[in-house]
Amino acid sequence: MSQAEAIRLAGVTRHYRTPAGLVRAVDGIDLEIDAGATVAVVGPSGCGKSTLLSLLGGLDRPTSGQLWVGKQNLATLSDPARATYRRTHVGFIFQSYDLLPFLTAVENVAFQLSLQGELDGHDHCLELLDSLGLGDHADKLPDQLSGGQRQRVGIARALAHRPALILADEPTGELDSETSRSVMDLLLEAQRHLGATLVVVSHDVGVAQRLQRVLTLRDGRLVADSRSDPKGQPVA
Amino acid sequence: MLSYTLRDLLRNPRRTLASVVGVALAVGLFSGIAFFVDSSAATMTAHAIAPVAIDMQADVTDPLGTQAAGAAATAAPTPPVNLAALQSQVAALPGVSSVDRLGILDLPAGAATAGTSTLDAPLRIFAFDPTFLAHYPIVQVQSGSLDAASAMLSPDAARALGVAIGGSVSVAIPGRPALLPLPVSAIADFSHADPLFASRSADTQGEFVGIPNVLVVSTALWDHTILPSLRADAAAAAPSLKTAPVQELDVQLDRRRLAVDPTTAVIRTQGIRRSIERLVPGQLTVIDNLTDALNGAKGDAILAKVLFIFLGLPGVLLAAYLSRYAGSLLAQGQRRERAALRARGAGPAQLLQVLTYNTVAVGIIGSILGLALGFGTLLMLFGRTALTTAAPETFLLSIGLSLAAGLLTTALALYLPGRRALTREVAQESREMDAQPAVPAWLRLRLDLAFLLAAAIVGSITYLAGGYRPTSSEGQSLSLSFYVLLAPLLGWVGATLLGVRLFLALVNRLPDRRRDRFGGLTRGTLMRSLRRRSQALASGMIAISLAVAFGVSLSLFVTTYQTEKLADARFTIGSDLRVTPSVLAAQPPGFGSTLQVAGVSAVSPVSGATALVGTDKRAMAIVDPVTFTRVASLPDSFFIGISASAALNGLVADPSGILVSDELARTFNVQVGDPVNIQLRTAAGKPVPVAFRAVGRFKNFPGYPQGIDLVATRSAFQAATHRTTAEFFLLRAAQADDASLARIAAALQSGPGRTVPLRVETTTTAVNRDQSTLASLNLRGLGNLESVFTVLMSAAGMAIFIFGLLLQRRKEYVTMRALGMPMSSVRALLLGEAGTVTVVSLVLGALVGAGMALLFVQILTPLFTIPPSSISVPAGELALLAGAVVGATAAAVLAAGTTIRRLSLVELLREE
Repeated sequence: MSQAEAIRLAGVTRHYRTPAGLVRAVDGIDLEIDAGATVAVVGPSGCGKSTLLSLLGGLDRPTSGQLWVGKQNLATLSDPARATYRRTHVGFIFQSYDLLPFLTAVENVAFQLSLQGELDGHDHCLELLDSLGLGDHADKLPDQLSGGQRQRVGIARALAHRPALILADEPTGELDSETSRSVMDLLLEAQRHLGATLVVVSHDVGVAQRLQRVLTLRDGRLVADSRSDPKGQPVA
Repeated sequence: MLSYTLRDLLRNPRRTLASVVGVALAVGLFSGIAFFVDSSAATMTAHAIAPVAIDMQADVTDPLGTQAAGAAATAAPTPPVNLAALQSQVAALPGVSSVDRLGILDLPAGAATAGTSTLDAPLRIFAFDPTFLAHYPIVQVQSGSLDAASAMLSPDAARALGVAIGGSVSVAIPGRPALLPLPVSAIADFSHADPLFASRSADTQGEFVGIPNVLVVSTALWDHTILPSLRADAAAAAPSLKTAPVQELDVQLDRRRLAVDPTTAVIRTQGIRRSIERLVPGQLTVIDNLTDALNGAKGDAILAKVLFIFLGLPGVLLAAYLSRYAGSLLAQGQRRERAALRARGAGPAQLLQVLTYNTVAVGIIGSILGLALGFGTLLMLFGRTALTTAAPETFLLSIGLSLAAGLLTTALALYLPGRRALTREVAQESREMDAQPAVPAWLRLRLDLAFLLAAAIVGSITYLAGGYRPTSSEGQSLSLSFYVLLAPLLGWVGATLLGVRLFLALVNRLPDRRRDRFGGLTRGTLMRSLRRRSQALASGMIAISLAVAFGVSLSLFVTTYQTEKLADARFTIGSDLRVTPSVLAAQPPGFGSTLQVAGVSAVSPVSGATALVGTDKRAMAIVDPVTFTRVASLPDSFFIGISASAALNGLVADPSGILVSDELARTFNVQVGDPVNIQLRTAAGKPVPVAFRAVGRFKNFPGYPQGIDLVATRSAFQAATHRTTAEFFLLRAAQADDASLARIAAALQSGPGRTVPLRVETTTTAVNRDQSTLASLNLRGLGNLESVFTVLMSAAGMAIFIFGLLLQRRKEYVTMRALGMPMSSVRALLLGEAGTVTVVSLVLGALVGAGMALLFVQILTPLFTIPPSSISVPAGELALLAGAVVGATAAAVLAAGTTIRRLSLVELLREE
């Protein structure tokens, strides 16, 4: 299991050039997140939430600034090094699940392990799926599963390699409220179990309120940073 | 909408390129074949008429005017033909380039004397003017010159009469009381003037009558001295002249003004012939050699076009399929865009308009690129002459047809599927996009089996209807029922589809990966992908297998065809070269050894004789078995129950041994070891019985394509008949390429050919001599043309497949990368799938291609004198084809890998 790591952003920007002009998706964010914290990133569409998540996950590189995850400065990592960072440190949960369509549920989870050269983690993957209520669906292909089941497989895949950082982009975006609640329960339980840092991008206020800290972005800037106690009550 | 379409084409250059490439290849191949066929037909015309020495011979039906004179007494008088006036009239006809008079008179032995010498053999008198020599170089003046008052002699006549230039001969002309004295002013070689010795008689027209003793006079002398005497003789109560003289006009047409297409050229030559006949109706018989030659070429040109089109058709179909395949790969992206346009309010009419503009734009761009490709390939392979030989109107027609084919291909590949998609509801479409790919129609409908069944039915019907048997037509031409080629085409598609079906079945039966172990990252992922969605590879596999099969079949067939054509030529000639000394000249002793010029490795004399076996006249070849084995190609398949070397060794060991044909052996029940008693004739014509012993049986014998009954040794034949002169000599060249053979031929003509006029035939001239038959088709040219496109199509097919894979699976690749998969593993995954398609396509294509080649060779067996015994394998060409596919795979995988590396993970993960 990876050790949860603190995150520190200093003057991080991510700008894109488009035919319409320069887009400042992330515009000078300074931020620190404690190791093992649960953080929600909220804000209107196009405010830079997903871009921030991509930067944290090493999917993208900042235009400027420093981005530290533990002792690694992601801003300076090469492409192969960022790929290594992603497969060893990060567990991704995507809005549209993005399961590999030709692999069964258990194989999708095992794929994440094989990325790290772990070839015999089948039992671990089955246990994980079982714990997520998918024990009977382990050998099904993604298109034989419901949306909620697919997202749970996605969660299992994100947790399989015991990452230090779990990044979830709208994990409940395509699910009904009951399934959303169930998925968030699983996610938080897994985070507690692993002691990992959890960052969730969401439009859903209900989801955000369940996390310790809520970061609000607007036009690429951090405009609010609220914290709550473990019971969900705001402290700042 | 038009500007939107154009922007869309520019915005998606890879997609546009993929759409255009199939159309461009289809049009390129179609136009390339069309231009090649046009050029070939034109070349065929040129080749067909090249050997024609005299285009038309207008023979006066009543050369002495005796019938005219007789008719004058009884009915309306018909004036005798005024040849001088007629000559001018014919020369004035459009399309005629020259007209020469020719008179021929045959006189019996004893007609010519010089001093005390009398010619004791028949004499032929020709009458023509010096211009004839300029127009017809078949008569070569060796020394002196022809003038109005003197005579020109053949070397044989001069030798027999013992006269030289400056001397004089006297000729007894029927009807002339005194001998006609003629000073000798020139000696000329007539050994190449076969047309002058061909019979003009209706009954024996074209039959060659060799007369070595020739005397030539001017037309003035003919008109003023000889003809009046002959008329007087004809009018006498007992004419002494038995054979009427010949009076003719030899007409040469302006061949440059003849259409290059033989069919059109025939119409023109026939028109000229009728114009000549109309000048003096009923008084001329026009022997139209040019039309005869063109008629042969006309039939062959049509058959050649059919054969070329059939051999080229698979390529065009393949390119069209490639276009359709590319279209289907792009369909998903286009559907997504159409859905977006619908969402923005675009109606069905506007979407249809976009689709139409898109189709027309891709069709036009693809067709223009294709035409350029067709032109370029033809220029590269055959040079400028390939484009300038055919008539401009033929080329324009081919261009029009190619453009139409391009637009049709685009309509079938892009418009129809797009239009079908438009008729569906958005909801239905989105459900389709999410669903697992359906089983392909060909697999569901078992089209592979249907195609194979159709091939078997067509093949059987063709076989039963005699389609695989050659149909003799005029001369050496061969007619081939072209629908026999349908069976291999159907088999090509059917066998390829069946091969892919078997691959899919095999992959589906592979044991699944161990459930409890994922295995190595790349291997585990690749094996599961291959096993669970092998159908996704099927389309690419079909396209590339079809291309490879086509390329392999073409290479094997064309190489076999070329090899067999050369083997046929060697069989016809007997060796690399055949040297036939003029029968009009005596061979000096040891003449054979003088033929051993530079580049010749062996010489063997061969003679022919007529042998009486029982009461049957049989043809016999007389060979020197020791040297014959050095010059001739003697495959064991020519002999029955004995090897070629054993058969010839039998003749060496026993000079009284004889080889008998299978037919003769059956007729006379001759077994090996049996005595064979035959009757030969000595040089003096005296019959002589000779006892031979059969040492072997044969089916074919080199140098005798029409067949021979007996082969005896030269020593036994000479001992019995005392005939020593060889009819011809077979020469083996140290290097048998065209250039070396041409060099040897030139050396022979300039060396021993100065002493004795020689006819030198080589395997090259034997191949070219077949110009009026299908066997002379330039299949190598067609093969080269199609090989270029097959290589391009195989490479393009592979590139399109990988590009399609990238389009369809880019989200997967991006997800894998996002999860941390190294780029090297992503590339390996791509390479694994592409490599599987490559290997399977190459293996399947090679198997199907070899099968097709076997069928093609079987079908075209009638074109060969010796049926091909095996398929010739062009290792280099096949390696090039395989290399192109493998190279394209590697290049496309590299390019795709780079594209995947450059894909924005963030953007693509947000999609949908």
